[in-house]
Amino acid sequence: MNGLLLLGLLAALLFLRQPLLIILLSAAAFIHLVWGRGELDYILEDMWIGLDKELILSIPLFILCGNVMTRGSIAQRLIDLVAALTRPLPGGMAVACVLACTVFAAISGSSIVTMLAIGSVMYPAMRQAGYDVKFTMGAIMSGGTLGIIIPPSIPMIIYGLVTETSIVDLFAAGFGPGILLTLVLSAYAVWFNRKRPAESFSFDEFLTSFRRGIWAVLMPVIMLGGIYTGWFTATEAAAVALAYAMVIEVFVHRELKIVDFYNVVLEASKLGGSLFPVLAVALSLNIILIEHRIPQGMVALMQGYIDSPIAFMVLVNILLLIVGCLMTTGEAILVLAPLLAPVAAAYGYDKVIFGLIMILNLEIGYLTPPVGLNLIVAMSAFKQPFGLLCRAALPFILLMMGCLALVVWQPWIAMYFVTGKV
Amino acid sequence: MSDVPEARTAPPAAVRVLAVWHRVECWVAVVCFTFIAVILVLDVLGREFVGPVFNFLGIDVGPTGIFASQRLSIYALVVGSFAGIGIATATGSHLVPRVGFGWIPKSWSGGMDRLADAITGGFLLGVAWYGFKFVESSYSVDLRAPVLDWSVWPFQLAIPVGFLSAACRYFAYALWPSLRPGLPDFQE
Repeated sequence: MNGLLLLGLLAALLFLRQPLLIILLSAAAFIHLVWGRGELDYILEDMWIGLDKELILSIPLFILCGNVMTRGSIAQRLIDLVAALTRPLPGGMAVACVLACTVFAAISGSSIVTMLAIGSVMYPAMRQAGYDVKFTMGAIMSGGTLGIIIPPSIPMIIYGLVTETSIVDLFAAGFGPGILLTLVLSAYAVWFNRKRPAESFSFDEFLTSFRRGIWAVLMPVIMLGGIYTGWFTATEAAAVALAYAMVIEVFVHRELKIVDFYNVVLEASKLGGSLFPVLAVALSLNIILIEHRIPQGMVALMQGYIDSPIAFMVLVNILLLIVGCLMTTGEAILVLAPLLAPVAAAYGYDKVIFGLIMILNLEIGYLTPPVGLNLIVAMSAFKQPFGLLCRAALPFILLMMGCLALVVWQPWIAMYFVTGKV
Repeated sequence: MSDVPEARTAPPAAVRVLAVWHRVECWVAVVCFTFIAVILVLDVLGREFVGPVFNFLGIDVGPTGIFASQRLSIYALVVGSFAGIGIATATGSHLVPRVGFGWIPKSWSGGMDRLADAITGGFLLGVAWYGFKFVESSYSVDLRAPVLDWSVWPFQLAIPVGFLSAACRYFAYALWPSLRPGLPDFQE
């Protein structure tokens, strides 16, 4: 009965257009009042405890770093470099689009930023070169989604915090699926454009673009190399990446003046102001859920109906794909990860691989209506009708679902970079 | 928002107060996030680069990181983030699930937004009240920060103040809908 009341309260708050912050606070208050001792100031105490984690510091640093690096001409420099390399392939420009998204994703950590930064350069270039509009939009929108799967990824950090999973392991695990998706999307780009003539490789062009783009390409190498070799923690890597980004943008590219830094920090503060309080409440809610053994209750309930881990995984994937159509990645992770990760662990799925599977599902959600963010943003940024964008995304969605199925079937694709074992 | 009726248009004084208030919150957040970035970068560079270089040269300079940098950064993060609640409110950046937006006719949207703002404001006011109670209990037992041994209540105070700031702003939006920022086209 109380469970139904809670659901009713949440539905009422959704109807009343309340922010996620209020919805989570209400859920926490309800649990304290109905199942706890009614001490509502415990919520604030748990929020304080939730934020008092040094790992959380990596989030503002990665956000700042992404904001510094993704302004100016980094995208153009990366595109020039990869385009020089892929020119000899049929559909080389399309492959360059996917590869540029991959490298940019390793800098930005955001799907929309990746899509807009690369898309704003690639869309006119590919259209001018005669690429099909549907294919071009599909490649740009799906390439953009790599932003959240290739580390550093803000959704991975949030998942790590709410489920107490190693963020370094999550970053490492994102590498394999990121490479798989890049290969599959690139192969599709070559196949789709197989009748287009290939161009010749120009060493001079490569050398010029290499000189212009090398500083941007080195950033993910330093940052991810530092994390994987164990030299840096995630927070330290974020700090080093920020220092590197500042030096490159101020002294090498000369595209960031110190006065611009105010706007960069203000943008990060805006994002932080909407994210951290919600994260704190979600962490507080997580503490109450654990205190009241809710995840264990869910495990028992699920195991009463579903015996097979495979059946569980199929159901969870269907659920997450539907959730991805209706909620944004941040909302879905904050609400569902603390509930689903313990259940997945009970079925024998490591929290790291489950996190990757969850993020892969939600990544597809960026391309599915009605709230596919890349569709919505692309509609206004590239002035294309929503229906065309949905049709453009369809083959890419199928390919990404194929990659997701492959990772579920062969988890070593993600876990190899964590455990070193196939 | 120029199409709102005259009666609902905010008085210039309210507009000015909210603008100054927003500017103050922006500066608090910018100072906090800049502090985090600077102190953590200097700490890591000190420990991972400067220290090893001096060691390699055979010069003993003691610890080269910044003492309690991560703890100080966490407190800056708390202050910056809760100043950020106000910024997110002022710029319409809060995550708002839009599942229920289609459950009522579009023509009711204006009224529903005002009701939503009033409810959000009331709720946040309640949270601020419990926040002050929480800070008061920390103050009364003189809860101190690990490593630094400073009282933590001044940092904790940022939590209820942030909620209170957001609550007042939502009440202002309910009162004068012309002040309300539009929701962004998308939120990631």
